[in-house]
This record gives sequence, structure tokens and C-alpha cells, in this order.
Amino acid sequence: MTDLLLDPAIRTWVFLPIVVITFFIGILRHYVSLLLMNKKKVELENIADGQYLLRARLLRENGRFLPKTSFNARRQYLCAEETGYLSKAQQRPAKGPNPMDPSQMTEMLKGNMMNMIPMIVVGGWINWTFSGFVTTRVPFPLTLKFKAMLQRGVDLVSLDSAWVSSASWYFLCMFGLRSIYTLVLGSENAADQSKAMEDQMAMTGSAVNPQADPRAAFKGEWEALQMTQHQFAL
Amino acid sequence: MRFSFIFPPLFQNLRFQMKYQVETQALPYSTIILHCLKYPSKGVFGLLIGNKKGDKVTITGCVPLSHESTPLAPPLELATSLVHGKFGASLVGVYFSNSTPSDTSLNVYATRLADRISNVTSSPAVLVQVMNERLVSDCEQDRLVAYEKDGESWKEAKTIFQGSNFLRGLQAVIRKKLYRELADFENHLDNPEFDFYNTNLSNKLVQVAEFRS
Amino acid sequence: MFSKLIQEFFPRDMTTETDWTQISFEEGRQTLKKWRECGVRRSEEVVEIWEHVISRSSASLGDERWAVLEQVCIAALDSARVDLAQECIDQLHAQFPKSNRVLKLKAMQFESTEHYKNALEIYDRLVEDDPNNNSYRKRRVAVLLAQGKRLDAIKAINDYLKIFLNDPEAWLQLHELFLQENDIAKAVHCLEECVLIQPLNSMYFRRLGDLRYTQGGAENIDYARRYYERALKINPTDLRSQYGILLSNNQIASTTKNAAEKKKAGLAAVEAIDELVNRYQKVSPQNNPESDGILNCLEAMKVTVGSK
Repeated sequence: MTDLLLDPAIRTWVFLPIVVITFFIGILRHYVSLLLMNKKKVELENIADGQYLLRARLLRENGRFLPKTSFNARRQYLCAEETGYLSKAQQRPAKGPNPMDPSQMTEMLKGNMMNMIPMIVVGGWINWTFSGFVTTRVPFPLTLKFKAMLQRGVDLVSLDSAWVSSASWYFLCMFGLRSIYTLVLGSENAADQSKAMEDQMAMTGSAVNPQADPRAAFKGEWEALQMTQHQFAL
Repeated sequence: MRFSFIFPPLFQNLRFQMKYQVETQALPYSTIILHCLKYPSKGVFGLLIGNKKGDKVTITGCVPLSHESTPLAPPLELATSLVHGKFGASLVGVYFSNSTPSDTSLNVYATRLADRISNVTSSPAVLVQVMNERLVSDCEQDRLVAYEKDGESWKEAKTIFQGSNFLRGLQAVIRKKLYRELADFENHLDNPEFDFYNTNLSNKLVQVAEFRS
Repeated sequence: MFSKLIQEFFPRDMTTETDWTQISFEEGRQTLKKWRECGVRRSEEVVEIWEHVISRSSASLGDERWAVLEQVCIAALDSARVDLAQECIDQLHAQFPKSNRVLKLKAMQFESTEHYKNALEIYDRLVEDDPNNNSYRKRRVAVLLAQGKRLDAIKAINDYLKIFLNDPEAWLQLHELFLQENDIAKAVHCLEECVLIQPLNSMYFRRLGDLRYTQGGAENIDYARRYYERALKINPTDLRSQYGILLSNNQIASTTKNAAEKKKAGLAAVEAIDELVNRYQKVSPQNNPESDGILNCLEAMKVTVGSK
């Protein structure tokens, strides 16, 4: 129900500039992170730990394709009292996150800086520059709950939830332009926010995050493996 | 042999007389070489078809089987029964080549297969090895070496080499890259459209290299 | 390393042999890309495609050019084309002077000319520089294999697997080495690892079936039969599994003393033969003139098996 007619000038001076600005900020962020990034050097031990945890999980899930003797032999190798890998790993001294460690500090700082600060700074600037505009409308009707999300900076009680304000439009662009970045920059681009979340599952080994305490993970796998009943499925 | 207890052990090997003389005809010779060339990074395996007259074994054909140095029982059993079904007592032996060029040892899988064939055909089988290091164009020696069973071990047998005449025909075949059209039993198992007896290829070989069988 | 196993999924269409020197640029480019992504080892043909088709207008490859050059370099080394390999390395070095990837190619060049010591030095340096990249460790093992040092290679792969234990490629290489050492039990262990990692890959099951069948013994043949059935379920067009079912059921029917089991195995074998006969009837005699012969053999087998 279009009861509002937007001035075409909004399209030219608010809608399109926000898209363009978000796009270029994303590209800028990608190249800056390329300059500042140094590859996370994961310790070999962490890789091995990650692999063993993965293997324990695979044994639980796919062990039904192995005959009983093979399964038990592998379970023994992982879980045996003194010699099993998981048992030994649980005995290791705890290595909690160490905020005093300077290299870890810089890593954390860099990561945070790259992700949060541009978002906040640019978001704030856009909010200030383009405040109070209604930029566009989503083509489907929405409930009132969406008003808070889509109409930041515009506090009109009677405005239909489908209308999007300029600040919210900025956030929508930021997440929506992900696939455009993949097209332009190739699949490995640092402008993609979700990549940071997928980083832990990298192919080089699903290395355990050195800051988390791996002992809990080992204990969990050890217990799960002990409890598994083997049934040869074939 | 009556005097073996007089002679010291050093001369015991004189008791062994090379029983077989193995002659490989041009067509199977080329097919074996082509099989090796098709898979330059692997060892190959195959069966030999021929006839035995007294102590002379003439190899008249071959059936390429597999391109791994350690072929497992199922494809070998299948191929042997199919080939034996088709050729009967003409199944005379096994050929093989090792995957590393400098390795001239006898492949255990080859000897086992040869023993099986001896059992099945009730006559001693012949083992032929391709000498990888001789697979160069300027080598004048015979690329194949034959072995026969003596008691429990395998000893080298005499081969009759055709000479460099027919090698020229072989060169023509290699230049035309006919090895790409060869199919072994493993290729057949991947796709039954491939003929592992290579009938069409053999006709082409005879044409191109003008082999006289 | 495992081109045979990969070729099973992409069997060459040899019924019409392609002349790689006559194809178009775009076709050549797509073919090289496909082979690059699947890791197929068709080195001689890659070199042919490069020399006759692609190299004439290599600039139009754009960014793909460097990946193609790497592929051609490795293919050239594999086909003993030292000149072409040197050319590729020179171009890559000019573009990426400090690259580890180019250094790896140089080490492979040393390997191909049998300067193993130099190659190993470079690999050691690369491993130290980038310990997470497992391809350098694998190349070290390849050097040992080229030198024929099987036992050292087995030890090296074992050490590698202590860290990167979920790598099916390494387990497969290890199983091949154990087979060459005639140790089938350990080869079975390796393949079971592969099954744990990728349980939907029919090739591992089929290979396990082959290994168990080779080991022999009633229990192993029973396992073999189950593995073949599983492989066939995952990939119903696999001829090898079909044959495997036939062989294992035949073996069970001949050796078991239990009458019910004998009957069941006999029926399963006959069913397998029927499937095979169906398959062979679809083969055209033009491509395979011997298919009739094989059909006759199968029918004869049916009679023998059915009478057990």
C-alpha cells in the first residue's frame, strides 16, 4: 500500500550513495587487511589436537562400517587408560588464554580493529550525514516488530514497517553486498564478514583455538566414545 | 647329474638346464611395450598367449590386465578365468613390469599368478619381465627377459630376440601414439565398451608396422 | 599420485580418441581446467594441448595463465620435457620471484633430473618456512618413493599421519606401499581409515572388498561380500562391485557347509550374473567385438553356479 511518494532526489542523493559508499568501504577493508594481515601460524600440536578430535568424532559417526575388532582397536588407541591419545591429552597442564602474551594481544586487537571499528565509524557517519531519510521500501508486508530494525533514526509511530530508513539501509547493504564482493574480489576476501566466523573450520586442520581450553573438548570426546555401542551396519 | 655328489656346491647350478627358449612375436611384443608406455608411472601386468612345442615357447598374443604393481585377487581371477575360457591351454604365462625404472626384482604378485596359471593349465608357466631401463629408442637389446620355474625359484630363460628390424615398426607405432588406444582389463571394468583383447588395435598395429605374424 | 583412482570416476572416453592438437582454444582451456581441478594425471596430453593450442595465445588466459603454467610445468616434468618445464618455471619466477609455490616447482625439477639431495634441501626449507602446508611433506615422501626406498617412505608417511591424520590421500598411498610389501592386513587398516573419513565414497568400500577377498578365509570373504554390496548401493553402475559380489558369493557357496547359506549365496551369485548379462547386452559389438564371448562365459558360469 503505497501511501508515501518519495522524492526522486532521495534516490539520487541518499539511496545510491549509501550503496556505493558501502561497496567501496568493503573493498577498502579487503585491501587494508591484506596489508596488515599475517598468516595465523598455528602450532603443529594444535593441528594434531584438532585432527584427533575430528577423528574421534568420525570414529563415532562412521565406525559402523568397520568390523568390531577394527573399531575396538581404534577406540582403544584413543581412549586407553594410560596410552590413549585422548586420555593423555586430558592430563596436559591447562593452558588458558593468556592476556599478558603480547603476540596474542596484537592478534586480538588487529582482528577487532579490522571488523568493528570501520563498521561503527562509517555507520555513525552515515547516520549523521543521511539522518532522517526514508530511503526505500521492502516489497512485502512486515509486522510491527521490524520497525525497530528497519527504521533506525526515524521515530514515526504511524509509518508502515515496510519502509526502511537510511541507517538501516546501510546495514542491509553491508550484509547484502557479500555476494557482490565474491564476484569482484574472488572467493577469498576479507570484506566478507561471515568468513571471519568460518575461519575456525579451515582446511589446514580445524586447529583448536589456542585460547580455548582444549581439555574440555578432549574429555567430551572421550566420554562420548566410551559410551558408543558398536553395531556393524553392513 | 650322477656326479653331483662329487662336485662341490659351486657347480650345482650346472645341473639346471634352461629348458625353455622363449620367442615373443612382433605383435605381442609391441602390445606389451605399448602397455608400458601408456602407464609410464606405474607397473603393468598381463597374460601371455602362445604355444609350446617341446622346449620352445612361442608367444603369439597377450592380454593386458592391469596397471598397478599389486593387482588384487578379484580382477586377476576374473581375467584369468575369462582368458582361460577363451584360450584354454594357450595361456602360457604372465608378463609384468615394475613401477620404478631401476627395480629389476621379480614381482611377488607376478610369480603368484604364474604359479596359479601353472596349476590351472597343468603345465609350467613362463614369466616375462619388461626391463624398464631398456625402454629407450636407442637401446639395441631385448627389452623383455623371460624366466622359468626351477624347483621353488625362478631362473632366467633364454629368449630369442627378433633384432632391430622389427623395432623400426615399433617406432612407427609409438610415433602414432597408438598406446592411447590400448585397453587393459581394468579399463574394461571401468567401462565394458573397452575391449581388453584389443582386437581392433591389433589390426591397426599390423597395418601400421607391417608386422608379419 | 592417485590418478588411477580418480580416473575411475572420469573414465576416458576412448571409444572416440580425441586429437588434442586440433581442438579449439576454449575447449582446450576448459579441458585443462577440468583436469586441474580433478588432479588427473594426463601429462602427455596436457603438454600437447599447451603446445598446439593454448601457448599460441596464452595472454588471453588472463589470471588463469599462472595456474595453467604450473599445470603445464608439472606435466612437462612428468613427460621428461625438460625444456618446456624450464620455460614455464622461468615465466613463473619472473612474475612471482619470492613465491614458495615456484620454489616447489624448482625442487620438482631437481627430482625429475634425479638430483634428490638438492630437492630434499629445498623441501626441508619449505617445510620449515610453512609447517602447515602439507604438500611439501608429501613431496618429501615422493622423493623417497622415486629412489625406491619403500620402507623409509612408509616411515615418513607414518610420521606425517601422526599430525595430519585425516588425509585420505596419504592413507591411500600408504596402503599401496603396504601392498608392495605384501602386508595386506595393514593395507586393510589404511583403507578402513579412508572409510571413516569419507564413508560415502564407493571406491574405498570396493577396494576393501578386494583386499578382504585377497586375504581369503570365510570371515574375510563374508566381509568382502558386505563391502561390495555397500559399494554397489552407493554406486549402482560399478561393474567391479558387481563382479565382486559374484565372486564372493560363488566362493561362499562353494566352501560353506551350511545348506541355507549355500542356497542364499548361490541365488545372490545368479542374480549378480543376471545384472552383468544385462550390462553386457548394452555394449555395442563395434566398440567391443569380444562382448559376445564374455556373455557366453557368463551364461556358462550361471549354469555352474546355479547347480551348486
